[in-house]
Amino acid sequence: MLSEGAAVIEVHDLSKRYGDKVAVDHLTFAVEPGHITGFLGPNGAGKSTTMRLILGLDRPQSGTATIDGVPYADLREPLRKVGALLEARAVHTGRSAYNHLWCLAQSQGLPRKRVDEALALVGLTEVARKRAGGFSLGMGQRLGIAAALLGDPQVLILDEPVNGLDPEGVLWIRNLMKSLAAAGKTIFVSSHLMSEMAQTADHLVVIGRGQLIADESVDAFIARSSERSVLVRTPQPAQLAKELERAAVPAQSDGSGEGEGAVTVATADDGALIVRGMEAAEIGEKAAAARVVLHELTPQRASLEEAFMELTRGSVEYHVGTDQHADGVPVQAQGTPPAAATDQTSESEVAE
Amino acid sequence: MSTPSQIGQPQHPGYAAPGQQVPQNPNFGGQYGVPGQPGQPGQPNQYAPQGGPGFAPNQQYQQYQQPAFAGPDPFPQAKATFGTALRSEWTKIRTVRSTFWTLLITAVITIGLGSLIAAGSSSHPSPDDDLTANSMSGLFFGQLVIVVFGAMAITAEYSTGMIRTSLTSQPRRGTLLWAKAVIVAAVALVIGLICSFASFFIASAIYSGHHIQVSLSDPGVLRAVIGGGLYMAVTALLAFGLGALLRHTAGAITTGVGLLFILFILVQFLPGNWKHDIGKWIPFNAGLQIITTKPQTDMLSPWAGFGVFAAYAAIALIGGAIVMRSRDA
Repeated sequence: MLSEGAAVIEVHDLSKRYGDKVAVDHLTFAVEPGHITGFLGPNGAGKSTTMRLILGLDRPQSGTATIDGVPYADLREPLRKVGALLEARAVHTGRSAYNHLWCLAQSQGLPRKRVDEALALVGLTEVARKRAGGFSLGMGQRLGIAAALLGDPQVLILDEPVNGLDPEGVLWIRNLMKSLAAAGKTIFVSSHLMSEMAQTADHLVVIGRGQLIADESVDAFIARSSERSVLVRTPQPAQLAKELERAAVPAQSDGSGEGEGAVTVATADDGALIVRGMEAAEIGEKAAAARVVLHELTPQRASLEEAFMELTRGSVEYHVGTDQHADGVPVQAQGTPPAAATDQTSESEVAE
Repeated sequence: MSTPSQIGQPQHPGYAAPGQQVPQNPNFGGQYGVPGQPGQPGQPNQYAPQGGPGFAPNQQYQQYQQPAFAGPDPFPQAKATFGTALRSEWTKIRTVRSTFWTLLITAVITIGLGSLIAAGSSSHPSPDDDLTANSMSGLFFGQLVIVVFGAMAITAEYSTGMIRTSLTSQPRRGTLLWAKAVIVAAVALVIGLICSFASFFIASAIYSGHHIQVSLSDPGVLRAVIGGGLYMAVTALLAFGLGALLRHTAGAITTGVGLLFILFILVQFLPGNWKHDIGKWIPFNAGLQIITTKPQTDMLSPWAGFGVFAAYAAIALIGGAIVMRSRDA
């Protein structure tokens, strides 16, 4: 049994180039057992490449990827240790689902009954004798999951497992991952769908352009991007922005544009101000001192989706004190939907 | 399912099949990351490192292992070895339709054309005729189909993406490649032997109708007939090696046919001396000496020629193995 806290998948300084294109850039992280670790990144961020490197399908230019300290290629019983669902369908289209699983089982000396069990597990028993080439996207995905679970592995590496699954299938794979994680297995699951990860993952590894952006708990990830965001409604936005700007000047002196002390003010579509880098209480005090009327003062929490957008896009927002508009109210650069949108997202996720 | 009560229920010990109703925690979604209340029961983040009441699932839920995986190690024999790779590859090759069709067409062409040529040559025999070799001349064409078989045994894995699944089940690429090669060679040898023995017996029946007797006990005949099967096996390996080298079905088949057939035709257009000096070394001429029973002018001896042919196949296989080991899958 795996000891708790042992790093089962370890990626160290991993780099991979395809020609001139850098797919994975000095990536270092670890995936722990007993959790679902979400692997997030925009399309083309290098998620699939990283998984292929972990599985030894591609050779890195530098760095290592190990499972329990051993490179995948050196595993003696790979399917017992690691179950992998790869991005594209990796099945011979002319072979039946049953024979596909059977030849995989044979490659490890797994008993034939495991094939029946795996097929039953994913609900493909009825079509087991049909050619895999005729399967729908969702059925193909189920077959891939059956192959991943064939050897009852300790580690599951799933690349976009919910792709092509119907809502029932999505719920099923989510529950499956949770129960396996609860049984102490290591689950490493990639997705570009933040809302899916929000409902599944405990821990996040976020990459963008092949580089590590975050490796932390879901809580910490959201907190990191949203802790200083406060929604402010006031009839005097320009005056308040100027006041906050003045308060931000000392914080600016540390030189870094987006350092800990940076305060930014942006306007949402409906005219509300979104203030980052300052607590709600402090904003209220500043407003009171300047005799600015406040209609609303709400600390914001971002959804995972917003946190992700926040951390993966380039820093394009205005920083108070570095780039001022004539009226003192910077135009919002991008994104940052108003509070209403945040709440809607949350509700829809509950309803699902 | 992240709450202890739900995971712990024996009726939901592991996975629920799709369609099966699983009680969902109504608190899922939307509540993640509420500052100040980490690790509350019912929240998905209870396993987060800060340590909520639901943390440390290892100790808590160990007794609820999936029933299918009961026991400490349900599959103690589960190791990926060369033996298991052989079994896996044998299942793979016999469970795709292309194997059946390529082998059937190989047999029909080799035996059918061999019989036709034997019938043709027996109507006006000359004492210089190598009747045994003539009986197996269907090999000239059958080899083109066995090229398809050998190449597709590996290129189909690349074109379908199956290679990635194969390599996760057997990450030792050499083991995978050589297990495949053994199976391809064995299957091609069996079909080749069936073809050459069938061709020989059909032809000798035709010959005897013209009062010409050929027998397996005649000098060199048994070697020639078995050699026909060996030629098929090595041809399949040559194509298999090209397939591993090129990873492309059409490319491997074209190259294989080119080496075996087009090269043979091109050599015919060379001026006299060159034709003999070069001609005997090309794969087709060298390899097919194994089915001759009479000495050929300007050709290698049967076994020397076959050895040269096998060397070509070995080069292709080694090239394929190097590519297999070094290139990304």
